[in-house]
Amino acid sequence: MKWLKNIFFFGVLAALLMTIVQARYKIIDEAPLSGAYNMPDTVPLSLNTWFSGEFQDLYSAYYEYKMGFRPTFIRLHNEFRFRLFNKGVPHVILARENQLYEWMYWGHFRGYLAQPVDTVRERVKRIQELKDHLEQSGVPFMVIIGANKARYMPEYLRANYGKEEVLPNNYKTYLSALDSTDIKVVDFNQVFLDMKPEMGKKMFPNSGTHWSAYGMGLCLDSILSYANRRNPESLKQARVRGHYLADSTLPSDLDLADNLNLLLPYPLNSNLFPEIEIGTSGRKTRIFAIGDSFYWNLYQLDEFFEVADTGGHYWYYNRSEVHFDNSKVPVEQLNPVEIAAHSDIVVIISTEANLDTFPFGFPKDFFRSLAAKKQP
Amino acid sequence: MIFSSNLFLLVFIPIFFLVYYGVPYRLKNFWALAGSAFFYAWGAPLFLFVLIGSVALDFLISKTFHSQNRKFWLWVSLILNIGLLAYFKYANFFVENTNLMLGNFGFEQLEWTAVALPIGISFFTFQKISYLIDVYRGVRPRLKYFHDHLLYIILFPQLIAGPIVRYNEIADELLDRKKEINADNRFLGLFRFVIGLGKKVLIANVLGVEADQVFNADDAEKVNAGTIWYGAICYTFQIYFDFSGYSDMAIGLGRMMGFKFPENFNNPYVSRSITEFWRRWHITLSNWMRDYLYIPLGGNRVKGVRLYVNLWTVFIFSGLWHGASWTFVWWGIYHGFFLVLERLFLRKFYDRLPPIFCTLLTFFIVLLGWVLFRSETLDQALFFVGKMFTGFDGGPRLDVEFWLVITLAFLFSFMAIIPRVEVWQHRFLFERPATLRTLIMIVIILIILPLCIGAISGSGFNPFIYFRF
Repeated sequence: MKWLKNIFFFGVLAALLMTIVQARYKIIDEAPLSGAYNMPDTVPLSLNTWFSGEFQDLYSAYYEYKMGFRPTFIRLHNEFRFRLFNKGVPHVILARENQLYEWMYWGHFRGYLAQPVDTVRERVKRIQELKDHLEQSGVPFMVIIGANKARYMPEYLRANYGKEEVLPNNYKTYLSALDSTDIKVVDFNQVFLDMKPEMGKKMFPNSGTHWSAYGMGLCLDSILSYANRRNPESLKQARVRGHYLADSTLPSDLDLADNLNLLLPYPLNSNLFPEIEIGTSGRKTRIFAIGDSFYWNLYQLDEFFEVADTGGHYWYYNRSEVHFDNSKVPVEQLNPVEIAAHSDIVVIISTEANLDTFPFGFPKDFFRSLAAKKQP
Repeated sequence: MIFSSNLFLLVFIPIFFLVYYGVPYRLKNFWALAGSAFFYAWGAPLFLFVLIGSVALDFLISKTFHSQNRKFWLWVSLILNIGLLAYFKYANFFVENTNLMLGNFGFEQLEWTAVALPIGISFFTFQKISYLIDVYRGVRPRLKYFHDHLLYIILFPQLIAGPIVRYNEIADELLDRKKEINADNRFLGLFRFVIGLGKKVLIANVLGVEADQVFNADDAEKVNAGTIWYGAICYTFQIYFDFSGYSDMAIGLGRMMGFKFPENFNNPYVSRSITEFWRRWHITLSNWMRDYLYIPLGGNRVKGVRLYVNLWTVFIFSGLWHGASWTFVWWGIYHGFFLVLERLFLRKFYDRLPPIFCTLLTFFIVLLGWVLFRSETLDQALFFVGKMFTGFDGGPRLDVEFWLVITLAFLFSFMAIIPRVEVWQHRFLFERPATLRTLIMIVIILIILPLCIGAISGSGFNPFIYFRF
């Protein structure tokens, strides 16, 4: 047995050593981990950094990220915890029937970060001013509230997560404030809830927090219909005529499952896709959308590119413009007044989980640009 | 550098051991010395020089132990070593308390720049003292070469968290362990190391997160009784699996190098009395205290009050050894109190009880002691203990992970209650494994090691408790 013990012992040492080789030369291709993390800094080795201990401290933290096969080891750890203890990562809630929820979506449903009513009313007043200005210029304006999975189907949450809505919450406060205006609002929470008896859990992918492709289709349909209401048939339409289930997935369907960083594939349900009929007449629509990732989701639909003009703009959280090829430009380099003037519609879109910062400061920036333009 | 870090597991271990086995035998001690110096310098680069300097002084002083002034030089060396420990470990505590007293009496407080605690100072100071006393007593001849002496003190497996390896236990292997560097020891050492790593990473760390949430709660007043019990139980098992896991790793690494370090734990939670507990918990510290403090104070040769005072003194020092804080002192007093009670009458009372009841009672006493040990202040400890016994008003929600880990912790802690389990444990861990046992050990290593590396990579929480001491 001596040979076995020796082979095994030195085999283990060699395997450990392989992690150094992998860190240096990447001999085996590994899928990178999903999610964002900051690579710790390190400092060059010198007498000063060594004797102050700075090099050692920083390098120890740095090596944890640098080590070979790190993604595989982390996936192994996550898989072990997931299979054995039904545990995931901190911001992902593992619910019954393989449903995943993002914590913030559930949190906002439960009143997390609820803004004072006066603050919300003040923000809505600014949105009303924006809407009035745009419509005077002939540009339709609408607000879209994306659907919140936790609000739509809290019944899959486990017992330790509250399933009842907690008041006040931003969703209800904004709805109430928007109700007293003439702003066009499409509330997809309500749209989804109205469809729930027929569609059930299919409206959301079990492995993601964003809406299904069907929900995206409905959103696109709503935007184009509203943009087209003044000059029917002048813009190409995208009508949702039906739906179908398929085992394929869009990247956003897996956003939460990917974040679990498991070794084995996460169990997936079939996903709901829209049957979209594209209009044959009219030109493509120039959409100027400001909002969260629920609009970015639309980039995953092939039909979107058939109806959305490349001259459109999407300002992600009013911070950076995201082009159709997903490249970004800081919005400070752009003029919202000019863009709005050349758009067929302006949309501010947010899901419930982002309503605490809604409308992302856009009306304020818009009027600032407008004031600057008026100055000689 | 800590054992349960990827830098140690994936870089230090393979490089150190491949070179260690690759170099000629006469160079192995030099390589072990270089590796140990690097290991210590990674955490305390400047203090390494203080450590080397103090070992050099010990080396020179130990040369005088055949002279007529040997007693004087022994005292000089003891004062130097205890002085170093006192300065680095207790100076802050002393000044803090002095200033508190001065402040209470309206005097101006002392100006003081806090001293950083060098890692492992309590452990290697006791080893240094053990060397000096063993050589002085003639138990073993002194080491001829400084590099051997230095290696004994800074040998990396036991340098920063024990076990406290006394000179006479390792003297032969320091000079000649050619026969001990073999396939069996390498394999058994690796197995022991991985078992220790698993205890630390898969059990202690998990329970540690839970215990910290209770003991570090922002608003302790709002923590309910059930949660405090939960925290106390988690910490009771955390400290055992953390510390015994570290000892297993140290013993395993030593064995891979051809050294046989003393055992530090022997199923302490099955003890039937506090006296027995201290024969099973941190055995190397208990033995050190017995041989270098309790026996010189008079040991069992003295009777009556003097005996009890001596016992209590040893335990107060033992408490203080764990850290410069009043909670540790009170923890020592607490254990000393039960030890004295057992000498007075409690042991006779225990003899009349069923053994399982004695075990449960001892575990309960130990658990309450850990609340004292873990609390930041005496007030917090008293508050927690008080609340534990003033009505159960709810507790935390316990999940599957907790139940699985606590069940494993419970089983591994208490299985030695079953007759012959200790014999079986001994055979499994220490005897040369036959084919089937070798294969079982290989499977265990192949499961635990990747899981541990994964757990270390996947969680930032990885502190060792005993580094504080």
